Parts: sequence; structure tokens; C-alpha cells
Amino acid sequence: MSIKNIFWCKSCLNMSTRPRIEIDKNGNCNACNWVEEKKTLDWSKREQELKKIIKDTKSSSTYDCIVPVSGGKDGTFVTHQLKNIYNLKPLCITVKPAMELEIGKKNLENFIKEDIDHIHISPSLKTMSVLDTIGFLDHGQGYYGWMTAVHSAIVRIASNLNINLIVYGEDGEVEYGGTTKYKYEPCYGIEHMKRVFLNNTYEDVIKKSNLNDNEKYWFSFPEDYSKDIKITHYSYFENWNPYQNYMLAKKKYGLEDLMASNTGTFTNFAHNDQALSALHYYLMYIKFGFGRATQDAGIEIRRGAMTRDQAINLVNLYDGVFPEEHVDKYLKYFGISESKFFENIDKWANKELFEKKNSGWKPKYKIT
Amino acid sequence: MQNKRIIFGLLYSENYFHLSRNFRLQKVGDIEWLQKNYAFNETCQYIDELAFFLVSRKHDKKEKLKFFKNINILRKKIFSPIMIGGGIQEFEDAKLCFENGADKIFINSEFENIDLINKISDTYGSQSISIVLDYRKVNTEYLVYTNCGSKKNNFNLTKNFLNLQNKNIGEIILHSIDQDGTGNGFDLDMFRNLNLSSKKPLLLMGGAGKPINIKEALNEKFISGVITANLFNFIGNTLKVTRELCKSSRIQIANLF
Amino acid sequence: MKEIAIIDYGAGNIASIVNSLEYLGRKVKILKEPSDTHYSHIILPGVGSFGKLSDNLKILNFDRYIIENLKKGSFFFGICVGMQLLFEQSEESPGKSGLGLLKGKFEKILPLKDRFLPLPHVGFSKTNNYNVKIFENLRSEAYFYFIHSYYLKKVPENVNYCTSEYGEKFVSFIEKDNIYASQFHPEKSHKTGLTLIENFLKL
Repeated sequence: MSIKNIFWCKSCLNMSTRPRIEIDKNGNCNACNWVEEKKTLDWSKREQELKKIIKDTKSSSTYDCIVPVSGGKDGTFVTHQLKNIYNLKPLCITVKPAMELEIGKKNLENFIKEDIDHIHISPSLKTMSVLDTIGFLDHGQGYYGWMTAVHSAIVRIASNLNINLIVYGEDGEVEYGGTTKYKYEPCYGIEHMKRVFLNNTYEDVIKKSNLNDNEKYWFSFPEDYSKDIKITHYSYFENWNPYQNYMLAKKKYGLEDLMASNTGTFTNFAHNDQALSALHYYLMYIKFGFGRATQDAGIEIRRGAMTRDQAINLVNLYDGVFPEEHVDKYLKYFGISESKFFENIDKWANKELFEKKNSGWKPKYKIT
Repeated sequence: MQNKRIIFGLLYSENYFHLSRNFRLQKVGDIEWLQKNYAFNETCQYIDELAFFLVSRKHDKKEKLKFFKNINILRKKIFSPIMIGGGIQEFEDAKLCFENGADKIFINSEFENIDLINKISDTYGSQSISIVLDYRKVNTEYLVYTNCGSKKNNFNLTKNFLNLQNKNIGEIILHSIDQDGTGNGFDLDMFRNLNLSSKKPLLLMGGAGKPINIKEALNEKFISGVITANLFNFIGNTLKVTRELCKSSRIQIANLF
Repeated sequence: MKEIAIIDYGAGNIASIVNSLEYLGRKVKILKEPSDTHYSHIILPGVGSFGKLSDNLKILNFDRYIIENLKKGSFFFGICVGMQLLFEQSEESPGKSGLGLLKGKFEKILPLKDRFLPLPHVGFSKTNNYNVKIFENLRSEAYFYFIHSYYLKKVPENVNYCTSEYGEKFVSFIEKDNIYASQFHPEKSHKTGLTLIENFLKL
């Protein structure tokens, strides 16, 4: 990728560097095109599809489905809709992250209070840190271990408890500018999880970890995974609007925001559950040139709350701010020295796009 | 011919300026951040008035002094009409606002306090008082709330609005708690549903995200102006873009530059 | 450089006028009572009601002060109610009189039949200049900030003036000998207002 060849979506600020993005001949990215397409999509047909899937996956379990939740707006919204529109009895499951933030804990507690059946999976922090550390050093990922468990542990529980339907929140690939493979296909499988959501590096990380079978229980997919289990995204069945999710979670489930913006963006109401989120987004920024503010700006532009020009102002101001406030936590968690930590950051910085200055990695490009 | 107005609002609490989403505050930046990213000595020529709202939960003397200190620093290079309010409960509160540069003050929770309104009006003139009515839509009704949206008023929005028509006040601002900070635009549904016609200038507040939201609201015949305090969205040259959009869309608006 | 006098007679916010003058590099003297010092330029602000401010002027003896200093050649600028007080009467306060330096009576702004006109008049409106010298270097479309419910419709004789429109045409500025007065607030009118004030100070 050369800096000469980079460009931005003409409608939002998605960058050509984004993995799996498609930008058409009019200069619009697949996320923006999808927003247009969704305006005239036959949503009632998709609702019927969900109803059929629900019927087909019915098992002897008390629960109709599993909804992975973090206590944030999206899982809360999905649970609410499945209960109230589809009359389902969901089992909500949280995979506990390594460095939970107070506000994340509180939001989860508030959510559970509202008549929710909930399981908290807390895999060994030691094991998770092994995988997170390999993810960080070898693949420039912020929370690879936790991200793995968000997929593998959920599938395990579904398998163990005989619950045949898992409903995740949004398909980030379809919604935000990645692969459109599952745009018209509601259900996907473990292969897609490994290849796309886990960046095709799952096998490498697991192998390098040298974990035994017991240790990697929550971080591996069941061998006898039943083909009856359907994994889907709720964003397939209803026009996904993260801000609307936030409004509902705030109104009905006591969702609280941070008092100030999250590092690297201008929003304060998303991804508030763990300290490693900020590292994940920062790594995304120095690897690809766009960070959390760009993502949030895209959401704001696509839902009609902001113009592209307004977004550029905010992205220039907030994107890629380094999460200074969490460094000590990171060092302790990864068990590495400060110099090794920053060496690794430097290793993953894309030198085509960034140059190192006293104040950190600064972009060589200007958003156009 | 009435020229419509764009008013920019600054929400102040405890040394910071904030964004509000359905009356929940998010810290954005201190006065330095504001001076850097808004450059009001330049930006002021794109707005008709500048409003300062004290939105702290506590209104003790110390907090008020800091509030006015911030205003006085900003005001040195600004030659625009200034509106100040937030926590005005007694005549002395209003007096302090006028002494610190207010041309108009706004009254919110005390809007039914006729004695207070009349006393301020006697000294400073009725045109110096703006009433802000915060409201929510509950089922099909529009209900007024005071005290940061926590206390329901006995009367609905229409009744309160009509009551205010013959009071000694200058203008009425209808502030949608539901739209606040959403970027979904001003509450034109309410405005069209309730069909309010006002003898006094009527302004809307709450919900602006883009320049076009302001243009759409000002395009309504019976709306005299709008207020936005969306500190993120109107950063940089966006206020200039907004004014230019209004002018090119033939909104009746003054040429300030 | 000589100080500019501002008459403080309980007429609301003078902070903005002080701010403008200081920005233009002038020193300001706030007069709470008439002074023997001769000031070349005197400003009479005015926010409040005609009747109340008229009483205040008289109680504080500023009525005589203004008339005497005009005779001595001071340049005088009345703003908003400060302009109204130069005239004879205002419908706002029947029975009360202004200084009577200029002939005329301020009337309540009436909405036109079938035309939507909220009151008070609040906002920026443009001025049409009829020979006012201190307007000469301003843009041809000069906008100033107005906030009032009463206006003067009839132009007095032998004055240079500006008109503005709100429903009907009204007098927005007067220039006569060493008397200057604006219905609008120049101290609230951005660069245009500052330029006008500067022109006044250069007299």
C-alpha cells in the first residue's frame, strides 16, 4: 500500500486501506451503498426469515437463543427486540474481558436487572493474557484472546446447552465496509469467524500459545459442533442503527455514558466495557490509517447526523489519540516492559502512512 | 421583514464546555479548547447571537463566578448579542447576568414565577427575558418539564405556550429533550402538529446535527430562530457553511459579513 | 487620549459598550452622576423602559448635564432607549417625557394586517442611509442588531438619518449637529458596529 494510492470514500470517511473494503466507480464504499440499499429493502421478508430460523432451531432447551452481550447498547438492543418483537426467551452471555471498566460493569449490572437470564463466562485471565499477548506482539491486535472467546466460548455453550441459535449484534463487515459475503445470507459458520472476525490468524495464535486442551477450553471451538446450530447477526433482520440502539438502552436499561469522550473519538457511549478497546483502536489506526473517530464519524454520516465535511473536522481532531491513561495497565497485563511495548507499537505502525515524531506517530497524509 | 436568527449555545459546567444528549452532559473541552476550535472573534460573524448556559447541577456562588469569568474572557473579542442563563431563580441572579454582559437572560425552571419576571422586566425591559420550555413527547402529548427534565409541569406545552403570550417577556424557546443531541434535526413534527402561532418570537432548540437541519427549521414561516449547542458538529467552518446554506436557500437571514 | 464618558443611570448592561470602546483603544469614564469635567464624547446607553429611564435621568440631573454639554460642543451618542429619550414622548410610558431635543413620539410596533410580525423586533436588520456622514465608509448594506418594541416612524426635520424596516419603515439612526442616536445596538453589531463607533469617536 503506497501513500500515493490511498483515498477515501466520497460519502463517509472509510479509507481504501480498510481490509476487504469495496469502493465503487463513483467513489462510494460498500457501507454507504448498503445504507442506500437498506432504504428499499424488504424488511418484512427478512423478519419472516428470522421467524423461520427460530422455528427450525427450536430445541428442547428452555432458551430459544443465545445473545452475546457486553452490557453495551448493541447486545441490549438485540435482547430487547428478540424478547418483545419475537417473544423469545434468550440466554444472554458475557465473556468477561481482561480489564473491565467501571462503567462497563455498571451497565451490565443495570441490563441484567431488567428480567434477563445471564451467564458470565470468566475464562482464566492467565490464559487469556497469553493469547492477548501473542495477538499484540505477533499480529498487532489489542485483545485477540478475548475476541476469540467471544466466538469460541459462545459456540461451546450453545453446543453444551443444546441451544441452536446464536444472535450476535451487527455484522461489522456488512455494516461498516468489509466483506459483503453475508449481505444476503443470514447465517454463517465457524470458518467465517476464524477467517474474517479472527483475521485468519486463529490457528497460528493457538499453536504458538502451547496451551493444553483444558487450558484452551473456552478459546477453542467444539469438535463435535453440531450443524444444527445457526449463527447469525441481528443486523440482517432489522435496519441496524447504532444510535437508535443507544437511545433504547439509555431509556429502558439504564445505560450510562462516560463523562467525556472515549480516547481517540468524540463519542462517549460505545465500547465502554474494557481498557483494551482503546489499544485495539489505536493499533487499527497506526496499521491502516483510520481509528475510532473515523468509525464513529462513518456511523454519524450514514445515519444522517453529520456531513462528511463536519466529520473531517472531528476526525482530524480526535482520531488516533494514543491511550496514555491505560499504558500501565497494559504493561502489567502483557507482562512486558515499557520499551518492549512501544517497540511493538512502532513495529506495527505503517511507515508508508505514518512518520514518527516526538509526539508519536503522525500521519503523512491529509484526509480528502 | 423579520430576519431569522441562528444562535449558538455553549453549555458550561465546572470549568468545561459540554455537549448534551437528552440532557446528559459529555465534557468536550475547556476554554482553551473552545478558543482554539471555535475562534469566536471570527466565527461570531456567522451567528446572530451567542448564548451561555450554566448547566452545572450545583449553582453555588463559586461555580457562578467561574461561569462569568469564562464568559468575560470570551467576550473580550466578541461584539455579538449575548444571552446568559441557567439557574436564574431570583432577581439578583438575573442582575449578575446583565452585569456580566447579557443582553438577554433566559429563564427556565422559574418560568411560572410572575413576580420574578415582572421585576426583571421593570428594570431591564420585557425584551430582555427569554423563556426556555423544556419538553418531551409522552405518548401523544407534549409535556413540559423543569429542573433539567426531572420535574413534570402541571400543564402541557400548548397551554404553557399560550399562557406565556401575554406575559412580560421577549421570546419563547421550545427545547426538545427527546431531540437534544441526537443530530436528527429540530422537532418540526411538534411544531407542525401543535400549529403554534406566537405573538412573540418563537425559537426551537434541540436536535441540530447538520447545516441543513438549521435551514429546514428557519424555512418554517412561524419560526424566528434556532439555537444549537452541538459543540462537536459545528466545529471549524461549519457555522459559516450553515449561514451560507441559509442564504443560498433564500432564508430571510441577515448578512453579517 | 481623552476619556469617553458613559452615563450610567441604571439603564442596564453597559459592559458591552465599555468592551467595544476599550477594544478600540479608548479609556472609558463611567459617570454615575454629572461631572464638571468636559468630555468630548458622551454615550447614553439605554436598556429598559422609557418612563423609568426618563425618571432616572431627571433624578440624577443628567437631563441638564446632557443639554449643557451639547451646548459646549460634546458629541453625543444615544443608543436604543438612549435614542428614544432624546425625543419628546413614547407610547410605552404615557405622561413621561424625554429630553425634547428632537421632535417626535415613539409608537408601539404594530403588526401589519395579514402579515406575521412577532414582537419585540429582535435580530439583525439593515439600514438605509440618507446622508448620515458617519455611515459613509460602511458597507452599503449595513446590518445592525435591534431589540425593541417601540419605534419612530416620522422623520424629524433637518436631520440626516437612516431607516430600517420591520413591518413598516422606521427611523433607525439620527445625525443632527453633534447629536447621534441609534435605535440599534452598535456595540452588538460585530465589525460594522465597531466601525460606526470608531467613526463617531473620530469626530
